[in-house]
Amino acid sequence: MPTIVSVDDSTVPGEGSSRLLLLVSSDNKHIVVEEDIMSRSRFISKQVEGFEATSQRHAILLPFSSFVLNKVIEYCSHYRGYYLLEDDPDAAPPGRSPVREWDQEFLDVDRNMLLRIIKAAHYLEIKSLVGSCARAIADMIRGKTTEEMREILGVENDFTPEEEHSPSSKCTG
Amino acid sequence: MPLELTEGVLEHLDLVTILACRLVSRALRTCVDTSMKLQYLIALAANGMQDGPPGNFDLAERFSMLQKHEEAWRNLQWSEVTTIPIGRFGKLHGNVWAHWSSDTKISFCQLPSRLRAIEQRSWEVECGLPLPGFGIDPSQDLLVLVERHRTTNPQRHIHFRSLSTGQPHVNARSVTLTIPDKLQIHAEALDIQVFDDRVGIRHSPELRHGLCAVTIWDWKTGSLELCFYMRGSLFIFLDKSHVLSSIGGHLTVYYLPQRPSAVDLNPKTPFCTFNPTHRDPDWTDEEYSFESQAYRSYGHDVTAPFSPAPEDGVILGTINVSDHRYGHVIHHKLSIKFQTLRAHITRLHALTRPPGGHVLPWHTWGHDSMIGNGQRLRVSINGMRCVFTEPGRRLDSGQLGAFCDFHPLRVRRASNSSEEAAGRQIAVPRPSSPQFHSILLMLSADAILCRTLLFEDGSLKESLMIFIF
Repeated sequence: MPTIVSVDDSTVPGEGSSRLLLLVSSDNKHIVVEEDIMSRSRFISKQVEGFEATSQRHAILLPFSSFVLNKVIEYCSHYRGYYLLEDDPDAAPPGRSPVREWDQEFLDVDRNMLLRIIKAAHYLEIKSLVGSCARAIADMIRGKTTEEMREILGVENDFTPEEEHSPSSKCTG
Repeated sequence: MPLELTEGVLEHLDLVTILACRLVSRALRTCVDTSMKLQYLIALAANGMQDGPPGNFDLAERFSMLQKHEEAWRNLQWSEVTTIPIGRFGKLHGNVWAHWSSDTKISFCQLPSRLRAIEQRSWEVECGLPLPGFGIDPSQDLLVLVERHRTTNPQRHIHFRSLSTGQPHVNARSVTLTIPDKLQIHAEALDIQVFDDRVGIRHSPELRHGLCAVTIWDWKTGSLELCFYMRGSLFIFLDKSHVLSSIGGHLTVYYLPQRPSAVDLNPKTPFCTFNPTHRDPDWTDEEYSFESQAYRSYGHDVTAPFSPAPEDGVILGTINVSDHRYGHVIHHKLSIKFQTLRAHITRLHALTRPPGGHVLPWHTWGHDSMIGNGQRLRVSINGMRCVFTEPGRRLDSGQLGAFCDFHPLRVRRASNSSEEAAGRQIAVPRPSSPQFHSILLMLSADAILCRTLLFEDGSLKESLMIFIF
């Protein structure tokens, strides 16, 4: 059980800047980040609301490594102050997430990293990042054979031989 | 990976990959089979539909509407029958019926849909020009008007207006375009097609050779991008950069690069030609023609839960053969899917283009089927569905015409056999009342339109009966 660290509000720098958050990754790295950068994350926002209610600010413990966390912070910093429809909790849920060029470059990482980012984004409830990762993973497996897909997604073939050769879908008849 | 993340990944994929994912692992198969979203996406693809904008309907409603829509079209069970005025020079433009209500005023009627929840809407636009040729694209709120040729005023203009208000369109940089003298087109605009930024105008044929000039413009920048000549009535955008037309019974494709380097007013040679000469020893004096009324009927129904997929389309060709053994003319119909044509074009783009363009002989086309019974048929096409009427058919027969679907997945699901996969043809039943003579069937995305003659108060009245789905 990691220790709970209190963050003193007096660490707030100059006027007009946002308050600071302390995030602790699974490899026990302490990362200080401005609150409004992370406001895109519903998970963090809810934590902050909790702080407001109790007037106590704690470190937020996250179940993934600092390597992944830094990547997520990079994403959030890039879109700091931008409105993204998917992240608006009050907006109607959009269909598929739109293609964003910066995201495509940002997510040009190996498949393991991509899978770790999408899980982190899911945990942090950053819908826009989940959507962009999903799109990137989809681009990886599009047109691939089932064997290649297993390798990309890191899953095992757990079918019995009969199951594997059952009709491909009820929908195409 | 959590199930909802897997679902999020799969929803970006095409039908084939989604189905392939079912074979990857049990977890993925369960995900595909239990996710309503994925099942909805599969059903959309299998029905030739694309999802509409979010907001008006939730997933369960969309899915259920889609299933009803599919079933109704499969069995040709329309929801209701209504009549609208046919008007002067009335013509179907995709899902909009347009006619002239005065010499300068166009009356539009957006055809309704019960199963896609589209309301019927009528409005009028004052053009301020005497009976110009016009074309529309409701998805861009665009109305294109081409002035009539007058000997007193050889300078004619093309106007880009808002379809809903008739005011100059806000996206057109140069709202009024002049047709350059150099083109020497004194002919009237017969057919105007819009595809995104491009507007194509087919002019009426010049007398000597019967050739129609076609000019293609970028309506936003006002530049003329392409000019070519064609014969026949087939003229459509196959996609953003390919125009399909016919010349002398051949199917020709013109290529429009995304950003033409220089505006060249000289007529272009085609990118490729599909040569239908068949050389069947029993067939002589063949004559070919191609037809399609492929309007972009999608995108504008912004309130609809789903819309026809834009890439789907079919062209029907007619071969008229004089059979000397029996001394009569036989009419054959063959269908070619847009998808098939696009596959040919993609393949040809990788090859060096010969000076006159690529030529594809008949046996390499991959045309899909022959339909019809040797009679002359009048056809109306929308996407991959079409209706036929046989002129001169006995009026007391129980059917108005035939309906045919060429969408491979829809057909396969409806017939459950591969033999019918090329095209599925069923009769359009004749409603028992009121008493009317049918003249012509037309097809929009949501309705079968029937041009009719009704006896009313002892006189014949022409009107448009619509069978709404």
